[in-house]
Amino acid sequence: LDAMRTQADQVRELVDKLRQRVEDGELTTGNGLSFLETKHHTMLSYISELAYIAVLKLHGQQLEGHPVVQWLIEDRMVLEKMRPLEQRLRYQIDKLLRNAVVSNEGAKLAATMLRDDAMADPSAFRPNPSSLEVDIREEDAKAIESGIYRAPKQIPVHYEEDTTQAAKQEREEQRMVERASRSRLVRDLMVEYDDRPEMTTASGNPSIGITDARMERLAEEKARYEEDNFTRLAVGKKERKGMRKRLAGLEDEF
Amino acid sequence: MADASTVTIRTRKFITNRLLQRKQMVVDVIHPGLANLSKVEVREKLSKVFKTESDLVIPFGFRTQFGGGRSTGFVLIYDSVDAAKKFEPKFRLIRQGFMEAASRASRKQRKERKNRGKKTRGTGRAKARKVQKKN
Repeated sequence: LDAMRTQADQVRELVDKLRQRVEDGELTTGNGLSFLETKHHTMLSYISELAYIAVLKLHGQQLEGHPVVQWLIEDRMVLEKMRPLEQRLRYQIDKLLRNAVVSNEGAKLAATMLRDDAMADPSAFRPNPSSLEVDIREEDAKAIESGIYRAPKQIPVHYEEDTTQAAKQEREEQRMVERASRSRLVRDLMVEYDDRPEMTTASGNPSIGITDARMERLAEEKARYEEDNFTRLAVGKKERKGMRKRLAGLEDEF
Repeated sequence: MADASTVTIRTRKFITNRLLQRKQMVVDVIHPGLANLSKVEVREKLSKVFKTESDLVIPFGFRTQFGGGRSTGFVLIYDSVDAAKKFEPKFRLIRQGFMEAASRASRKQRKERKNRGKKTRGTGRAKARKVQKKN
């Protein structure tokens, strides 16, 4: 209780000093941001209402239905709504404060030397790119200076853990098995013995016999390229051989 | 060629290319049961549709789809003969008849001549003078 009393005395001293200054006209807020003025006034009324409620409780009176509670809620709402607005005004308020603080010419010159545009001319409202954090690591900085582009050494590369002969042979076998499973014979067998419905090409015309998604995709890509560029692509030797092989295979079927 | 009613021509991807003073499009010719249309026929049909001279309609790249019945190709329609002469490659101008093919000796003849010329060094004039003196 003694501690509370000493603290209360200190607070009263501060408040008296402030009151003197306000009465002397030292701290006028008439020319400031009206937004901040409303904030002051709301906060003041909020505090006084809280104090009133404390007094009521001390005297053992009921708070139900008392208009003070309504006022308190209203003030609280106003303060809450003001908070995001204050966030948006924060930049301007900071600038103005800095302008008021940094009135020393020497400090401003020093700030320009250090390339701190914010402090040098606080009333400049331009965007300040120098305040963006650019964190160039040393090696990157050196590389950029030398003028030659060196690729970063952090690109992930395929890592083959097991390079022994046995592992390599196993991988080869797996690859052969996969390729065999994609062959026409196996695919025909699958179509025959599988319950799923048969897939054909989306376009109405009969395909060359390959209802392969990959082949279809390639053909579609080629067609799209040809139409977009108004050209006809030449069919290379390998492609022609592949086509002939496929057509020959088709003939075998019949 | 029975083409009047059974053949349909459809144009796709129509673009008006102001930079090259032409209209370019992809043309689908649907001709079930018939052989595909020749370039001249396509020219006539399109010139009627777009109401231009058939000279200015330049078809190329027609390929018939596997199984027949449908062919796709490209067509350019120029605004004027001058524009066509300026922007088209020579072989297409020759096809249309705007230009005459350069007439020259056959390829074999040209190569043989070149090989004969390889035997003499320089402009064979000194040798010609010697031969003259002898005679």
